[in-house]
Amino acid sequence: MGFGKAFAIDSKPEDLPQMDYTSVSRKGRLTLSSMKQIVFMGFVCSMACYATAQNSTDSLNSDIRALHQVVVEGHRTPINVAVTHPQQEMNREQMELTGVTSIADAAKRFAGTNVRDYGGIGGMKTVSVRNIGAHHTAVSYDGICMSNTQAGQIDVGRLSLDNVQTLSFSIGHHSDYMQSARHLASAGILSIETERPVFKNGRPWALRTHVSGGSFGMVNPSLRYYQQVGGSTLLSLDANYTHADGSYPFTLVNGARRTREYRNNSNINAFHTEANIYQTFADSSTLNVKAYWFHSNRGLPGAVILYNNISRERLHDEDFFTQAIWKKPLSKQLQLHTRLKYTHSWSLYEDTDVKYAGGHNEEINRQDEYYASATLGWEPFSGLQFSVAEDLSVNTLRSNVIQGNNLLPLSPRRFTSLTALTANYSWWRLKVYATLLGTFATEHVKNGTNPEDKRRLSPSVAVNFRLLQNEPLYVRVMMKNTFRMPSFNDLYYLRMGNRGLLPERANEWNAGVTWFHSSRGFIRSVSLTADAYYNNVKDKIVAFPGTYVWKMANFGKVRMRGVDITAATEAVLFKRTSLLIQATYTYQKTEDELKKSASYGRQLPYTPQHSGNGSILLRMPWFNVGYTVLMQGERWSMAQNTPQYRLKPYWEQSITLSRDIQLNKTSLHIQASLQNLTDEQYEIIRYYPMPGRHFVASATMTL
Amino acid sequence: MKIRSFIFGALSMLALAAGFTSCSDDDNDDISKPNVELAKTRAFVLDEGNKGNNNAGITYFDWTEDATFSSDLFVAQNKHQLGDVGQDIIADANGNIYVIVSVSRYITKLDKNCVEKATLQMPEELGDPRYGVLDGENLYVTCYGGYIARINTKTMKVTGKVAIGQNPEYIIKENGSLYCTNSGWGSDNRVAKVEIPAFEAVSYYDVMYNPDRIIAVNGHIFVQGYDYDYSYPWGELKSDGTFLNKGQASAWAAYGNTLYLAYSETNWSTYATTTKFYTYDVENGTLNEASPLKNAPEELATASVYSMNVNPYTGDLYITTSDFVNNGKIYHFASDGSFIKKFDSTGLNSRKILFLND
Repeated sequence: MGFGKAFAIDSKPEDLPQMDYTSVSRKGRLTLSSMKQIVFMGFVCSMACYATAQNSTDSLNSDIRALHQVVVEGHRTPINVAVTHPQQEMNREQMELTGVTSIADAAKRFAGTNVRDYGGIGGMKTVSVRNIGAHHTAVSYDGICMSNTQAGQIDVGRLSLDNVQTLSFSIGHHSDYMQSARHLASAGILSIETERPVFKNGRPWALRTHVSGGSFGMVNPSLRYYQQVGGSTLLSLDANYTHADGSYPFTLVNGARRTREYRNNSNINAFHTEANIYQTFADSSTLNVKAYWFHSNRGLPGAVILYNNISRERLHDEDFFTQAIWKKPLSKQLQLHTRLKYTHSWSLYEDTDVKYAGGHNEEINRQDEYYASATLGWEPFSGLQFSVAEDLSVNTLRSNVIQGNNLLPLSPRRFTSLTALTANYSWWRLKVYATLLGTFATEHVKNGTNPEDKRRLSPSVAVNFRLLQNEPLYVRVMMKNTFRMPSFNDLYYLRMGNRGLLPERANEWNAGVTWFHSSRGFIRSVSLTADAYYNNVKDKIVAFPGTYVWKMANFGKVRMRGVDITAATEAVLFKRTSLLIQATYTYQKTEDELKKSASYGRQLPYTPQHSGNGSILLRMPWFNVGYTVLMQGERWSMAQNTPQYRLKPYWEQSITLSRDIQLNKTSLHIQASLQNLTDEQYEIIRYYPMPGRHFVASATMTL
Repeated sequence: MKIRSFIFGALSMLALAAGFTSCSDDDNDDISKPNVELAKTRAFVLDEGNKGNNNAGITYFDWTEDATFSSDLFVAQNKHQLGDVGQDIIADANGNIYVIVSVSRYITKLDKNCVEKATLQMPEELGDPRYGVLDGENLYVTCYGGYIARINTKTMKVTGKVAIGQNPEYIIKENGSLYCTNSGWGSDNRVAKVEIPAFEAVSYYDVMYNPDRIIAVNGHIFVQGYDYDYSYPWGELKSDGTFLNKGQASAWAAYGNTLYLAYSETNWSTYATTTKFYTYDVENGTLNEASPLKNAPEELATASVYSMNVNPYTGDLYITTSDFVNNGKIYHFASDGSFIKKFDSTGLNSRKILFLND
């Protein structure tokens, strides 16, 4: 996330997106076709190229010639510096070496995120962009956004980190003009890119096995297999299983009483598998096809209730999707990206309690999504690009709790059309990125009245200007207007749903300055970004209290003002010993600004004014040491900003030791991590305690 | 050695005997020295809190002055929290107080100063306790598992239970029988009657969809509920078992022959709540649509009334309101309806006020 990094051509192609591979000679000398191109592409510093003479031929992809090991040292400008929209990323190595254990854990390390974490491996985790709300965050998985029309937000706690190569977080959206319309429709996007096949030692296959285990009965084996089929087809297969009893201790403070308790009913069994086909055709078009399946069975411990620790709620869920992305260059100026996806989600919530008739309650939900998307891009001349994207989707829900007051099933079905026009212009030191998104949504329910159709135009514009010719110092501004559709739960949930809801509207303004500097001295690189922002949300969809009955309502207007700062530096201490340090800080004031609201003028619940994180990574020939710290300042669990509802600030620190061992053709990576090493007792959500000190160890063997 | 053992044994027996003796007296004598001294004319407001936040509490005030203690009295006296969802608060003739904490699933017995003396964790098979009524030394409590549980208030043990239907809510004692509303969250919709001596025979009366409150006034029984559309109907359960609808009400309280009613209605287009106050003369069976309140603060007409309470020693009316975000407000009216004072509760969603005078 923001580190300038040395890169090696034999690592993987995505690390070198801007390099002309064909200009690398087989003898290992890098011939630069155009220095201007390199500068333009964001490579800075001198590039020292050297080759090591080895006979291995590592195949990257069938359309790229096999390369002898050619190692290029240099620093590319970190992604967060050169783009029009604030964007941060972490790659697999950074996540591994700093002991990141989940996608939610990684997301907490990005400036501007607010992760609601209900604790434990099975606890729900959602990501919000600058506290606009998790409903406004899109989660993209290998190029296509995930959806949950019933809840309206994605629980990233269900997603495995095992096969993730890169996690990036963008405010607004990415700066790529060939995106789907859905990628452009949200206030922010969390993008998950999984690992692509890498072959070593001349084999057309590769195998990786991994096992990790740790405190609270956690065990997580995984298997990854890659196979090259012919010259242009790659296959990958992933499978992983997670088990945890989740019964972690915590300190419960009850007035003057402090007792040591254990989290109850928080066990989980989860299985995830996916298969991928990467096909490259003769005309250099590509087709990637994925099939994904996830199943879990978990206890829902709920809030810690004083004097009553009985909890029998359980959730069984299953997600299946298959998706295909076809990228086709039509001519030198035209290219087409198309996407297809089908998703089926099923969940069974059950609770055992004598308060239910028969002593048992079940809520079953089944969602289906049919999604098609196409983006046509046109680049009339270098530096100017246009695209038009059209996304169509049909979402359906069958549920035994989505009912009218007459208890008849509603079975809602939503058809959505998103159309996006994008213009991307680069001239001299200026970059301009503008979009106009049109949304049309219509809905049908089986019984009762259909909600009104929704139509809306949402513009956005972002500008980035490089201030100095010879130094990557940029200023950037962004404005984006988005809205989120009411979820099926908002509209139809038994008794609480409100079919008259309007979409919730959000506006984002951002202005920032970014800088990157590199040298060949002791300090190899420094990067800094500072963004100030103002957001507001109108017609906020909230559960509104009537007398004894709550109903969903467009009641609320909130604003967020703040600053996000990121800093990173890399130093070379000795030969093969480097130090990477990074830190983020967020200041945020989030206020209810609706005068007739009962919480007018107050900080919104669970929004700290001060938050941040830091990490130190020491890479050495013998082993690596990673240290991380996460902090949040005081915040309140209720709109009453009173001592009774105050959550105390916390600092969570972790340390990770790791080592890579090469045994003939087998690579072994071993790692041990002590998480929350000071045993900080804290909550992100009130009465959902987070785990204290715990231990995770893992071993990964790659053939 | 033997002599020492003998003396120790004798002293132990003496201490045990003393203990039994003290237990056999009225509990009234067993008063702890409180951390906070309370007035003789004291009132306890049970603040329900909201589910999952363990923020139930007790607001204390002296009802002659309307002066509240600055924080949760239960915490001040006991140094720990009351728990999750305070549902009901009841006092016996000896000044002992019983608080039903529904989601925490227990009942706590307090002395007159609000100092905890004993607790009863409700068995899981009975479910969450909801509301209670006293009869002699027995406390009858509705439980969400579909029971009325009988609890001996001296031993704080469950001594009996009777299955009465689904999800019972409020309970009253009238003419030697218990009556409770079986909400079933819309699937039972009856009032159940249990004769106290037998504590087993059950008879039922059909009322509205999803009934909630029940109250007895001068031999008349009234029932209020939610109905399908949350229109809050209320009416009289006649002695012949028929139910006669009377109007709409979301809160009520009785004094003498008068039933005070409030109906808070939320407009789901404007999100504005309006509250109407009126009375019902139980003896004559007549509704008086005019508000019994005089010089009431303007905001009361647009607030959600959470409870209405009458001080039995004065006939004064106390109305609590909630905006579901901030601590509750308490409005004090004299028995003739004239406004006296408005003051803050120290907790959220003030469900009931208990008045004592000893």
